[in-house]
Amino acid sequence: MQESVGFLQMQGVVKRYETKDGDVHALNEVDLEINQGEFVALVGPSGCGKSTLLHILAGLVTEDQGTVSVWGTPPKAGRTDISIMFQRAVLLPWRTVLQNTVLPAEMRKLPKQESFARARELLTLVGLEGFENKHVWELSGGMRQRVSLAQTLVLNSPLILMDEPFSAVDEFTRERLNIEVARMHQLANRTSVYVTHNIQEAVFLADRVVAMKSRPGEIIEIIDVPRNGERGLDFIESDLFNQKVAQVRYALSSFMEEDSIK
Amino acid sequence: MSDTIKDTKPRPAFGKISFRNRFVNVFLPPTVLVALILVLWELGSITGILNPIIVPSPIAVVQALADLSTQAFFWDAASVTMRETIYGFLIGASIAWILGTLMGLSDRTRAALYPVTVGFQIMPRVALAPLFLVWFGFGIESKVVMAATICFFPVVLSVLVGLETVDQDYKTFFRSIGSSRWDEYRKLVVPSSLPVLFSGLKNAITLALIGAIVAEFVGASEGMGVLIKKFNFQLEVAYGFATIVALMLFGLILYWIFEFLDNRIVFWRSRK
Repeated sequence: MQESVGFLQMQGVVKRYETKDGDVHALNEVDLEINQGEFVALVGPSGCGKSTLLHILAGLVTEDQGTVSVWGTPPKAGRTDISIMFQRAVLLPWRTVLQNTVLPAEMRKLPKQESFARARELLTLVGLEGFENKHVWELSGGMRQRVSLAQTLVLNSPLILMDEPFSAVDEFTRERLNIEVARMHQLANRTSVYVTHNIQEAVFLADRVVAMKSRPGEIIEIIDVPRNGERGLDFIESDLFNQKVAQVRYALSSFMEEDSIK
Repeated sequence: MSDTIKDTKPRPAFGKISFRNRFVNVFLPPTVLVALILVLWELGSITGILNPIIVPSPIAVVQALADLSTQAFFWDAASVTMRETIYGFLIGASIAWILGTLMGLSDRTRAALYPVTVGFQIMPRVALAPLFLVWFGFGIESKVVMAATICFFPVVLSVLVGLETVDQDYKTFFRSIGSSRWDEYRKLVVPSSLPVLFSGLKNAITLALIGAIVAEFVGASEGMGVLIKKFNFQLEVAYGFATIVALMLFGLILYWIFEFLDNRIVFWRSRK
């Protein structure tokens, strides 16, 4: 790989956590470069450090060793050019859907009128038109994740990080939401990093699938998934899709067995 | 981030319970129970099992209450006791809120203040009433101080617990969106702690009333505690009972005010 083309660069990243049962080696010597406009999925068993990697990119966790840069500078929590979406929709019950959506912009003291206009637009885009003034408890799990998605996009950050965003919603809802994510990604030429333990999901969304193993967390293989136009349901039925899923599963499986014995 | 989202169906906006259901399930059971006790009590009085000089009949108590409600001296006493209670509550709850917040926001102040607060709570503060009388005099001040002292602790605890129960995922989220500490406090911590705070306040307002009455018993010239003592000395037991019933009603009104505010302000409670 050439130097300095990477929009996101990680070199020799190491992260250890101290626990009661000794040190956990969450990430060991991880090198990764992500280009602008790319959709990268991190996939692997639990404990492979994929979430840690994402949280490092978001500036929520600091690496022990190595260098990380997002657009030339180290990541920092609260940067306007980075937005992260969590597994659990973090919505405040005392705020309406619209007020929740606008929250990241509010924290950055962005102009109110524009933020609200953008939030409304995004809510329409994620299919929640007419729900702006509802409260969180009136929404289903899938709808809450939609709000969370709109909230993540409200800053219009060029880098979107997603940490298993739909792992708690049912299969059908997840499929539909992932189509939305793919659409959102292409719409604004964003760079997206998506963490999941679901291989199909990873292959469906990503230009590159980063397969990871645990103990210590390392990258096993990076699988390219060529993109021919927009990704839709027809892609899931294609031979390419199935072939890539098999390839990722094969890469992961050689390390999974080891894992299950332990 | 382990919480799962359980349901996928949209919920109705407000689970309005029909009036009939509410009546049958909420109002009817306690009403029936109280009515039953009153009937047995009244029967006991009529048959002479209960000596009316020691235990007046419910009807006699109601008559006494009706009589009292037309007397100016009764309302004067009620006004004194209510003022003692409310002032005491406001002072006690405010100090408790400040201390609780200081403890919740800094580990060091917590380490210093918490053991002292607990020690203060364990001390039987009712025993301080004679001392307060010496320090703050025979008037309303010593009663206000007593009420404040007694209602103080549950508010400290509720503020502290409220500040601590803020969901870690929400804190991480606020950090990720670049929230300042002040914004996090204002927009996340305070609203999150309101449900617990209100349960502390509801507890405190009823305790403040107890504090005021106890202080009046120890030494006062006016107030409902004074009335109760006076009626007992005069063997006007029905009037003594009536004053106690009135106190209960006032206590209920104070409690309901906070219940109402709680439901208004913490409208999202149990809807998460």
